[in-house]
Amino acid sequence: MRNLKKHRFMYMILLPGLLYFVVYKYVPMLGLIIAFKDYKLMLGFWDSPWAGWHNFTQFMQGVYFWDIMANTLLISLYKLLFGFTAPIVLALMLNEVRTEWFKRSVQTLTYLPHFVSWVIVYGLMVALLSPGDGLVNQLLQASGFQTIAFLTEPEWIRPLIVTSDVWKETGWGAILYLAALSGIDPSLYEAARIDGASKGRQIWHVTLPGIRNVMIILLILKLSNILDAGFDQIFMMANVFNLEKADIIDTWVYREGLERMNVSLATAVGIFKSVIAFVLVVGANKVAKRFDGQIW
Amino acid sequence: MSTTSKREKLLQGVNYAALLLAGLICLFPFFYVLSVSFTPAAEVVRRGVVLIPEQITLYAYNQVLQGYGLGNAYQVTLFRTLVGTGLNLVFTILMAYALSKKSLPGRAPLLMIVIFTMLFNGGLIPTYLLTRYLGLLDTVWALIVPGLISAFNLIIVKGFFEQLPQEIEESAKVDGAGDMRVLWRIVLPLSMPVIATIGLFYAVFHWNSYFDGIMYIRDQQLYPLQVVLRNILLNFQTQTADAVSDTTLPASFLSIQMAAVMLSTVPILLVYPFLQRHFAKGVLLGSVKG
Amino acid sequence: MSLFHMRYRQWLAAATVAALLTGCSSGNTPRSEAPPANNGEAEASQDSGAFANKMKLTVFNSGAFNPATPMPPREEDPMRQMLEAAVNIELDYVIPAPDQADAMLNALIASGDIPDLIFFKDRASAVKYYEEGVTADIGETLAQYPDYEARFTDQQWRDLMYEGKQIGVPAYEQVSGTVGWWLRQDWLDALGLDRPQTTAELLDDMKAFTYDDPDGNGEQDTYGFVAGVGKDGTLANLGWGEVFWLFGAHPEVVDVRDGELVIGATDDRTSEALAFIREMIDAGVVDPDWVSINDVQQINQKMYRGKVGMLISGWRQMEPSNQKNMEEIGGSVPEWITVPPVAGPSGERRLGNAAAQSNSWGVSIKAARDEAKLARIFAFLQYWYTDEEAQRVFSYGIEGVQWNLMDGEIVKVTDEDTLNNYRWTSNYYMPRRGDDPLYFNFQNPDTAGYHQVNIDHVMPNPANAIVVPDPDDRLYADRQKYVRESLLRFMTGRAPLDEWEAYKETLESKYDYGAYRDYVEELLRANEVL
Repeated sequence: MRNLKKHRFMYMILLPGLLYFVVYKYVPMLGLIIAFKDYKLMLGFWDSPWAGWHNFTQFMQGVYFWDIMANTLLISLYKLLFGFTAPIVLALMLNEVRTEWFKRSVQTLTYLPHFVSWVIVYGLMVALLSPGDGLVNQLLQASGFQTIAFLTEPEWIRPLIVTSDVWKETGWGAILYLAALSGIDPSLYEAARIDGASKGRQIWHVTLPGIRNVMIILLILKLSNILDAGFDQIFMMANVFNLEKADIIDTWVYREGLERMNVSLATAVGIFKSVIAFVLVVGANKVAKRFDGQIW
Repeated sequence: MSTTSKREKLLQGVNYAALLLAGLICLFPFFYVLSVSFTPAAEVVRRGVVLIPEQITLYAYNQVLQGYGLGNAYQVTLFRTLVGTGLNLVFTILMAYALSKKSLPGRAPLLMIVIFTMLFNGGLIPTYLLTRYLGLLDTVWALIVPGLISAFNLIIVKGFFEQLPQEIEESAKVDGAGDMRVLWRIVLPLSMPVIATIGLFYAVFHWNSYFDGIMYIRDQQLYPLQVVLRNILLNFQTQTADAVSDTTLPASFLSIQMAAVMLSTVPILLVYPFLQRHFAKGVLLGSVKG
Repeated sequence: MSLFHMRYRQWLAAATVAALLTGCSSGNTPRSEAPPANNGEAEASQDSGAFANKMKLTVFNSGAFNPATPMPPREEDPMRQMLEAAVNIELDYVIPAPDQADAMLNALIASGDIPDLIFFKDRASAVKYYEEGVTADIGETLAQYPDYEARFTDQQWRDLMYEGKQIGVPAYEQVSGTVGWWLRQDWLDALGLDRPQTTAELLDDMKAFTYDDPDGNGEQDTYGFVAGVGKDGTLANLGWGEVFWLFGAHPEVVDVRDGELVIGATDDRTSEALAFIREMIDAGVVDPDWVSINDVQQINQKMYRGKVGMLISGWRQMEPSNQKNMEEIGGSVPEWITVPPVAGPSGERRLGNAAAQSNSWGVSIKAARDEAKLARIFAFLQYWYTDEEAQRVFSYGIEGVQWNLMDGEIVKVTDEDTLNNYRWTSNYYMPRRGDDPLYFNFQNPDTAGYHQVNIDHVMPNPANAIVVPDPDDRLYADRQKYVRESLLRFMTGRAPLDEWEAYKETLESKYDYGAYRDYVEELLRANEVL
């Protein structure tokens, strides 16, 4: 009886949230059917004619399909590689600082870029990297080198995208890890020190295991938007010159789907991305089970 | 021993230096925004990247502050941030706590329900129709209800709850505490770091969002901050040849843009330092013996 | 069906019934039943009989001149009061944020709240929404308002016809010749050069501007030309377009010359222009920043800095406000003049297309089905656009505040505070005439002359406005992307010019260009242009 009563409390407190999800997430999901239709504004969701898989085939058989898939995956994977590890490294470094005011100041500085929108960041990049007036190119010229058109050369755009994203988000991403680090029992460090462990070993045996679960959760969650690759940023940085290496799924959809009011196509692509992300997340969770870090 | 501590001191030094460098690199764009916001437009165009202005002017700030319902907008955003974040936390914490109990029957399907929403999204028009149907359009609640729980944040909070040692709760129960008491008196205080963090995430989301303001709000008195600021910037950007342009549009509206950025980000930036004290080490210390 | 669906249906049904009921119970003589010869002007404000009941009118104006400026409430908005009083309506004047206008409109339509009058910025949108059944054919009703019809030219009405139907009325008049070739006369003088008359001379002068130190400061820091390109690759409005036009065609424009269809993207004229542009870039006369210049303001900033000799910019660049910018940024006010475009290989001096009436108001299908509503809408339009007294208010502003009558002449108030505080009024200036000098208020006497130079060299293009994207064309956006990418590769030299034929072949084989060309031909034939 006590078991049931305990669970009754739990069900009660999760009911409001569940209601929210059902009403605000699942009801609008009914609108996903327009991916299988040819959505007409005046006919609405129910009366628009069926189109079967047409929208999906248009996307997947499109001329640029493999290009945008490759760009999206490559950019996402690079971002994952650097963008996942950098906040951890930063958090670990900050964690070692003994001077409280220094730690807080540096931490505040590092998350500042998160608040500067991509529009501003891009404007700054133009001011720095423009072929003629850009500061960096002026320095290059003054030192006798050739100028580089960073913003328009396809070879430079992916490194620029990844680097600027890492720079912008690392500080912010470290916040969560710092919160997790503060939850590690200091007596564990004490014990390790008494056992003669060096700083490196302490980090390996105490710190990292302490935030291991957070790492796994965040990794799985990051996989859930692996096909997003950062629309806001790429929308600013992609241009006709570097499009071959910077055009991602979302920018393609923006041109083909939204600018031409082809809502059905946009929805179909959304479903495509969601299905792949779903498979990845379920797979990742299974793997995480082995480390006891699964989400469900 | 002495070599180790010398090596450690060296590493410490490197650590400090590297962090300082990282801090400065991150400070740079913000500093740029700050200085351009005080620089006259003509100088901005003339010089390109301005870090130390030759002339300081408040022109840009005047232009932004002068118009257009900014005071109202701050109030709206402040309300939505405070009330919204409060509601966000309540809903999220309650649901996360319940879902963190591994013995809860039906837990896996419930979690799947949550996770599924992270991956599949109905889209703009259905959500708009729903908001309209619920009568939330043109009210401040249209800015709060649609984003009531973020599945991402929920999963994180749940993860933290799962990591709390069971013994603490069980010993409290043995002492006769009810479920609510356990949650309120024991679990929450121990989870302050993650609650502070998620609270920060929600607050920043509220403070920075503008798309929902554009879609759901028509009443100008209810425009949130980012919408008003965006409009102010657009005002200076539109230079249609057909329109009447009697007034001198500044040669560069960059300073005005930067002033708007400063006015919109400085308030929310100040939130985190206040939260940092919640990240005290070793909150679990002394709570469980043995 | 789900509960949600049922409720939505019920709501829609109820709303439709309510709308119909409102329509039926409206006052005495619905406008559309009155004898055909009804002149709205004086009668509209006095003949309150026909407007006995107040109607609600929603106007969705995404083409307002100052969309970001908030509008005052009704009590402080005399312009709105005028419009409401004239035809007894409650006016809901919606001005959406510029980049969200489409999303907002679609959301409104999807939820059944279709605005009565909808602004469309170009013919393609007007046609698209008409095809989707959002707007109505108002040709018949228009015939009942001859005075209103007389307000615009036949050509303007024709520009807004589609498949024989009148799908819109003009929203605001376009102005031709608002961009042109600007040249630094003082640099020509300093180097002892004459104004260029051919493309060869143009290139020579640009070289001189770049290498012969025209500003005499001993440094090689000047360029002959600067232009830009949109982020998405559009070459239309940042300078390169006008260079293409020198050769007679523009890569994004469809034209009909001597009964022949000219599609810019594949025409030989375009490849000639590309060769010339290659020469320009290879000669180093173009400011290398051009690849990062994505908007007009950046071009203007180059102009103000004073290190470039020629560029394409707006007609008002020598107005006092811009001269002030030149002074503050460049240190002086150079002698910039607008020159006619040089003669291309065909001998023609072409600046670009003459403006066609591209923007329009569409009447929603819902409003059009309600006779009384439709009549009220037209009475409203007629008042707004043709009433004499209204004309002055809706072109210059509020009398006594923004202008005053002095000796029978209108004198505008020009102090900065008034201008700033009343900027919102320009959102009502849709009826302003495209050739109204008082409206445009040139302070520099030369500006009118510069404008005239531009007007003299634009040529009418009957075809381009008619060609709207085929909604069934699944490759449209990809084809456009390929064209733009390829042209820029040719321009920058990443692709050699002898790949022009290969480019055209790829268009045929991979991007279904043949189908596109057939579609355009058919469309133009149907409209009797070809």
